Amino acid sequence: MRRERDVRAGREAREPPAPGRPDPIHIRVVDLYKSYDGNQVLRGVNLELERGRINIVIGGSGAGKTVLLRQLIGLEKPDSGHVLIDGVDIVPMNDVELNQVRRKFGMVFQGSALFDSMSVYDNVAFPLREHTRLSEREIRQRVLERLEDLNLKGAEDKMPGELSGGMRKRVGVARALMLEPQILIYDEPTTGLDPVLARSVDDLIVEMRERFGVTSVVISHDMATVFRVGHRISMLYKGVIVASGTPQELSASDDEVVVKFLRSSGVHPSAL
Amino acid sequence: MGSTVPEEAQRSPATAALGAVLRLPRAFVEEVGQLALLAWSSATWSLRPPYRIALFVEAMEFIGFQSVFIISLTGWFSGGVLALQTVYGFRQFGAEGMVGGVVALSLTRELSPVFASLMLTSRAGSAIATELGTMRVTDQIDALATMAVNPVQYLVVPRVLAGVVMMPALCMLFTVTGMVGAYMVGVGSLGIDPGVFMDRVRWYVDADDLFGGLLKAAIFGYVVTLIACRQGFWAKGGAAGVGVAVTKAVVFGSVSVLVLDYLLTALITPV
Repeated sequence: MRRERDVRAGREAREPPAPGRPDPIHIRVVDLYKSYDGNQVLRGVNLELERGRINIVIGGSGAGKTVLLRQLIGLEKPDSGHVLIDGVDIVPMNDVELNQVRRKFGMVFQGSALFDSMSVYDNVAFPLREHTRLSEREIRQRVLERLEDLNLKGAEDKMPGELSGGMRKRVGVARALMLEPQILIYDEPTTGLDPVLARSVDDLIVEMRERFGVTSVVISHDMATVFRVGHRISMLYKGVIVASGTPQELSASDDEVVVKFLRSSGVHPSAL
Repeated sequence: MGSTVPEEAQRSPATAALGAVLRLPRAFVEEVGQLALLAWSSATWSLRPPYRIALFVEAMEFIGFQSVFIISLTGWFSGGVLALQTVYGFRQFGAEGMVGGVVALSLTRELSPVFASLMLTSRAGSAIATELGTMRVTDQIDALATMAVNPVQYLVVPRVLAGVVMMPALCMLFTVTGMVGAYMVGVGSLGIDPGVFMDRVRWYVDADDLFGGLLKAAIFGYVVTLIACRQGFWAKGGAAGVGVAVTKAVVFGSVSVLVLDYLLTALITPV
């Protein structure tokens, strides 16, 4: 677990990427602190999220997962620290600069966050209408293709309120993918779903990564999802990353917090 | 090991009492500060493309056109009751012929901008706070931001601009329907001579009265929609939080209209 200890100390040493090749670390979080009204939530988070892989951040309720996620995409400014996307720090950026960076991201919210005043079609078409000069005919073609990809054919005229939880999640994924993002973030993707639906969402995360090569960042406390789809898992506990590694490394960890968390979840990778 | 005693409990009674006393002024300063920040942000984003004409028209339709019935109704009854009361008062000294002028002056200068703004606060202000508040607590506002769409530009700017543009129009409508109500009550029901009624309207009211009222209406329209947007935009705490935001939007909006009315009247009315 030397690697784990290194990551915990925020000093993981890596060779710089070869010229012409992208840095294998897509997102780097360095010494990130965030508090609300004197309540310290993030206490020096150091984290590396690998390009083209499924990176999972786990942790119990109140560990700061969602707060960390909001810093990753620039929805909030940290008190101190850095968030580097492709090596560029987004923390000092203003709203206009952040908007440029955010085009690299797609995000699937826990409750899907579909615009409830718009139909499924308009929700999925929204990013294209905002950021491209495509004709309405081309937009229609792309939207219908994407809906079909995600088994949503025929749902285009429905309003979000008419959809099941799983369908809403898939519409959220369809919308997030419309601008072909490099990074896809999932916030608690399986929370509140039944096991069958949760499994289908897990499959969707794997499929999106395989088909589009996106860097996936999954915030979750669902250990079944974690072991089923994760390439690299980081555990957030009381505002710091206490362990980081592959699912196998994590399940073999002797860290007290990790062992307790995994034992409480009742899920073991060998059972999946 | 740090102490486990909560910070609140460690304070002396004097400090706690001072904190309690300062809580209200502090909340007021925070509220004004957040409103000022949103005003600045919406002003700067309104100058930056893309210009969202369709959303602006949609907001004008919602704030303006959909308020026509309620403004006409309240305007008619306000003018009618004003005529009824002034006739009763002026008849004591045989001056009921002045009713038309007094009602017209009251409506153009004060009642139309204030009453129409209060109606706008309760109808459109509450709806704006509800819509934006619901969008906030269901992450729809964050979803806009993650799709590289500035939420202030997309949600706040069209509504605030529509408030500024449509409020004077609603104020005019309130005045017209109010005068119709006053005429029907004064002339049709209480027997005032129609020629005298209209003559006094022309005699008392001039363009400055009208423009002063419209200027007030535009300012009220801005303030009411900005307050509603601010409350909804930063709502927190689920459905209950949205309820709090809507209540605050209506209360703060109504109080602001009345306070601003006094200040603006003191500023623009020669004494």
